Amino acid sequence: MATHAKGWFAGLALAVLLLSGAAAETTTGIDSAAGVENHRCLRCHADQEEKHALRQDGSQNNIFIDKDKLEKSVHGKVACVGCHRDVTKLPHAKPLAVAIGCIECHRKEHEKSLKDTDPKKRERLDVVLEQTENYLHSAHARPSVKDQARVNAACHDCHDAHDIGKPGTLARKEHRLKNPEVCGRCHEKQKKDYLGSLHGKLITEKQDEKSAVCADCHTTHAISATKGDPAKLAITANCGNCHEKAQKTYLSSYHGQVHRLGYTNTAKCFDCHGGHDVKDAKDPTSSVHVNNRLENCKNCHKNATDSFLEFQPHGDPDNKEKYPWLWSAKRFMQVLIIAVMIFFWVHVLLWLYRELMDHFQGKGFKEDLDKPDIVYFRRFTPVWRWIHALFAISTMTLILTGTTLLFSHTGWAKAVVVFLGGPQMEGIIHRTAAVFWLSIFVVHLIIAMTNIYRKRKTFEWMGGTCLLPNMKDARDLRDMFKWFLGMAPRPQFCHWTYWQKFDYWAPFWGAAVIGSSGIMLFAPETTAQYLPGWVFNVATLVHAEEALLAAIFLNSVHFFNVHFRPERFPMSTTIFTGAIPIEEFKHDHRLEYERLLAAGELDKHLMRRPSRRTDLVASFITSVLIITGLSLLTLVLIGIGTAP
Amino acid sequence: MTMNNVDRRSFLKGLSAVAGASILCVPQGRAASAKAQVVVVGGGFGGASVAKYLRLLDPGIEVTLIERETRYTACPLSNEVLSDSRDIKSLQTGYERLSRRGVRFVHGEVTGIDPAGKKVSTADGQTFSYDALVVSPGVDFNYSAIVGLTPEIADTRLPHAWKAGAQTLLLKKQLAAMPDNGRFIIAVPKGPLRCPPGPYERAAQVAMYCKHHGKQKAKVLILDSNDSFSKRGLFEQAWKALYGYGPGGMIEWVSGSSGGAVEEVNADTMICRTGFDEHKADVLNVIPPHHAGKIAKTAGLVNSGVWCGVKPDNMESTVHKDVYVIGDSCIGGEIASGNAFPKSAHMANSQAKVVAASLVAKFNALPAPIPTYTNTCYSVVDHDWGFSVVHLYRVEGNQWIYVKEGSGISPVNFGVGKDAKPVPRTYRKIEAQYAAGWLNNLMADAFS
Amino acid sequence: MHKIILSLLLVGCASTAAARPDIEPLARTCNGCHGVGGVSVSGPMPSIGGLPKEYLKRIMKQWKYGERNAVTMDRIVKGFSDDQLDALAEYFSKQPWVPVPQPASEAVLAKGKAAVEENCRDCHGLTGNDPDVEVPKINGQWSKYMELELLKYRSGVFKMPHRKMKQAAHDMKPEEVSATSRYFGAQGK
Repeated sequence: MATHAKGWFAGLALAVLLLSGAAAETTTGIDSAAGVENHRCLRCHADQEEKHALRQDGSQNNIFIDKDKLEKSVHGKVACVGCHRDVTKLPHAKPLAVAIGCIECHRKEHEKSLKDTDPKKRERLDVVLEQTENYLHSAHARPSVKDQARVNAACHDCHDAHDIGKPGTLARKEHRLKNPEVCGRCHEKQKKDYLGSLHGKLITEKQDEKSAVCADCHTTHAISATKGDPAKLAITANCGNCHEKAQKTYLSSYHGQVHRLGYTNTAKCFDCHGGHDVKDAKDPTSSVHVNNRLENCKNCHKNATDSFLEFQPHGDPDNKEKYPWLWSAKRFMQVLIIAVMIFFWVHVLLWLYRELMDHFQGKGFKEDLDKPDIVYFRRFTPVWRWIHALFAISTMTLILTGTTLLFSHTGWAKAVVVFLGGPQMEGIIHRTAAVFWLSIFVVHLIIAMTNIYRKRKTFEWMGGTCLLPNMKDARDLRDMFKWFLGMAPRPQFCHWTYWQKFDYWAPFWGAAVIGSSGIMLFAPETTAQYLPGWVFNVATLVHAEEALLAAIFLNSVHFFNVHFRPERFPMSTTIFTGAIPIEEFKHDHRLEYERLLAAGELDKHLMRRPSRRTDLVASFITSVLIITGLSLLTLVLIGIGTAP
Repeated sequence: MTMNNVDRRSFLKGLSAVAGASILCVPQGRAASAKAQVVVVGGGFGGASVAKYLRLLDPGIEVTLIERETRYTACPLSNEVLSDSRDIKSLQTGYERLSRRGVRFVHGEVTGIDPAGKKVSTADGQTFSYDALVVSPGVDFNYSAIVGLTPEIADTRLPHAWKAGAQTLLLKKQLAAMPDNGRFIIAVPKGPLRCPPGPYERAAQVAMYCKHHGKQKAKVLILDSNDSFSKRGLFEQAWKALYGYGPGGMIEWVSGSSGGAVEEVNADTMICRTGFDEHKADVLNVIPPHHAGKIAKTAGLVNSGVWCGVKPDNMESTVHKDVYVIGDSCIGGEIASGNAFPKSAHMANSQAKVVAASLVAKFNALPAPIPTYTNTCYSVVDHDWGFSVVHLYRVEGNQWIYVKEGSGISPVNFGVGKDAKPVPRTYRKIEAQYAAGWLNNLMADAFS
Repeated sequence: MHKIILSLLLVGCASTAAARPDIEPLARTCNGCHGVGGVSVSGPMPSIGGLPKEYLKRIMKQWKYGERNAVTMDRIVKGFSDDQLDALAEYFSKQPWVPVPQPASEAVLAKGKAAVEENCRDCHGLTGNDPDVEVPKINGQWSKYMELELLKYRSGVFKMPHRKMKQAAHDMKPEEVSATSRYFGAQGK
């Protein structure tokens, strides 16, 4: 959004340049066909001593034109009668019958420019045309309710065509300072509010041209009715043209994320700060003054408590002094993410290297075509297979719906949220998926605990079938790296390898962090009854960061470990068939195989080869999930890569 | 023609409404084609104007203008003829254009008026019936008031030139023949007199002639029966600046109380005598006292000194009903305050319009119009030096009100007392030009 | 009774007439110098029929209140009420403008036109007859009058409130005054 706005303003500046350029070079274009030279017009109209003419009704009509200003203006070299076309001779009829056709003229100039070889000039005229078109689609160009024959505001209502200064001139500055006055001619109440505001006072009392005038927020030409979303979005975007940092922090908040998707139902700048009457937070009449702020919150959060006051709508995780908790949370999460990812991506790359080397050297696991897979090892019972499938689906759903907010700056996020039916529907889906996800997690815990309880007499907490990490895992890890580097043979694993254990335990952490922060954000008003408001800042941050970690890890490292390493490529369907060819099982879980063989329990775990159909279904589901996961990873990486 | 049509058109709009109303409400109305008969006696500015405006405002009125002469010579600016700066032809006009308006022009002299029978008769025995009679005979001269003066002497040797025409040319001839150091005497009778500033303008025109025709040593002596005169400040300022005024100057003025009133003239010796003194002249321009034109007297209309009294509303004679007296013969205005109507062409023209409007309203049974009397009179003392007087009268409660605010002479000075500065010459120059324009327009307004 | 109906009818027709009915006799007093319908027949006196109402009102009031100098008119208008002056202005503005084209030589016309293009046309139009604006028409106005008027503007001794006209008159070269006047005087419709 910010870049868009910047572009827009650059456009404005260009328009001005263009006007000046166009004017300077087109004296022949809108020339004096009638042969009435400007100095003749100015004989009366630049007469300092007779600035007014009487209208027929006896009222005074200011006919004065400041010759100096006119000549310095962008239209300085345009013939008077080039615009005032009904003047074909002097003296002319009073009053003039025909309105000035700014638009027609500027369109013509643009058309002419198409033949122009100077690309700079064309570019400028493009901008003017854009301004013109913007105006034509604006609220100002619509017929006035009071008088259908008139538009709400015509060009000359805002522009004094005789005094449109060239960029950088004093006239330009004056025109800017005059902006509230000009708009206020019609928008009286808004002008009054504005003049009492911080922006207004800077303009009126300090002539600070950097302070915001009407056009800075409402735009100059593309003005739309403020009740509509486009205006609200544009205005909020325009705040950021000056309040860059505040906008950045706003956009990283939930309010801002939703807003950036193009929806206006969350708090926008002016919802809290006020629009025309925006005031300094220290001003006791300001709506964001600490005494008034809660009222503000209650406009949306009806049951907002005092804790809301501790929420930092512009909390900046990079500002250690002001937001230490937030700062700490971000550092922690960043360290965590970077550490995990670096470690595992190195692990992945080395593994890939090793397997590729082995492959080329004819080593490693290979399917023996003379001994087709007939005997399979039953690795997962249906309940786990279901749990994994549902868990995967809900996780992906959460990633998709969550990252649309996190990466609301991207085009894909906007498309997704439209596809899903808007941010509210997206919220519902995200929260439903979250409940589902947590439920699965809880159900899994119950089943696991029940299983352990049943086998409590024989269950070896430190055995090969237990998922609890142990010293062997540490040794395996070490040995794996040795293998990767060709320093030792591949270690042999029990029922669970260390990376599988990591995959298993990671969600515990994730569930804790994402789940708890998610619940807080789910019900802010309830949360605020027990916790200070700044936890929302922290919760928003860690929820997002942890989710990112999970999304990237699962869709890259987990996918590699299970599906993409050369021995497994393109996929392993075991988690859906529950079965692994016995040879493969032997290769990956040698120690478990041998243990079962020795204990004579192997047969219990053997099964027939899954049916062809089961295999196809599993392949299909796996494919879909992998593709989905990879797509999500792509979207996330796009989001990170394009983050403003 | 366009302008005439317009004035008539807007007036007729009113008339047609009246005509309609007549059919509706007035059972016995006059036929529009012969609405009324108006006879006008005298074809000077007053008579011509009234004839013209009657026809202009309502062509349904039959107008008969009876005049002794077939051509008229206007008096205003006729003094310029003396200085050779104006051709007398520019002052002359006939009555053809009035005839074209439908005015019936009768060349003859009215010798009798029968107010009871509403008839006038002429010297050649014609009689004319009228519904209204307008008498505008101008002034006649009382030669017998000055010993030694007769109409014949005036015509041949001592021209008064107070009726523009042959005497004007005679006087001009005498001036041209006057010795270089000659003395030109203008004898001014007691007022009221026709063209009050005329004698003094004449003095300037004569002086101007002398100045430019090798007669720098000539003198112009004004022997005045009055103690002051119209536009005096302006004349004295101009005389002084242009020709020298007073002892040693070219122009000298002797007031009535200082012995200016001429009582006797001798055409042979060219000496004129006042009650105090004798004056020898090379050219003797004696203006006899005036009175209302002879026919006014004959008809018994004279009732205010030697003048005819009239009603402020419409100039109707205070003697006879349906007889209206205008021009130099009548006396009107705020007489008591010394602001009587000046006897001028413009005044006669203005009075004529009042009468015409009043008669038209009367014959069409319209409400009587509100009269306004105005006068503008320019005097030219040099090619580029002129000035004027304006008069405005309105009528209120059957009385003339002299409107001071709208009357007065061209300023002599700007400012008063110590701050007084002579009015810039440009003002005089422009008024000298306006004088000519005024004369032409006034003649056109009366005679065409 | 008849009279009442008649006067009612008269009032009715009077209100539809071109000008207030009581103003015509008053307006006729102007004819002596300005001609019937305000069409002058003589050079030094301007035609006034058909000039813009506001212009006529303005100059008469300016004369009356001493804001503008004239040699004669300023005295005359002082005798009239503002209402009368307004009515006179309205009356004469409703008369048709009748130009009286006065012939002039080609050379004078050429010289006059050049001067007019420089000094006059932006307000009076090139022919002095511009229907679009409320400036006094001067096509076929009497050139002598215009010359005298320019003299007033240029002399510096007349209070002439129209600044632009004064400026334009001052901007003229002395030899252009007569040519300008005669150029406009020569214009017809």
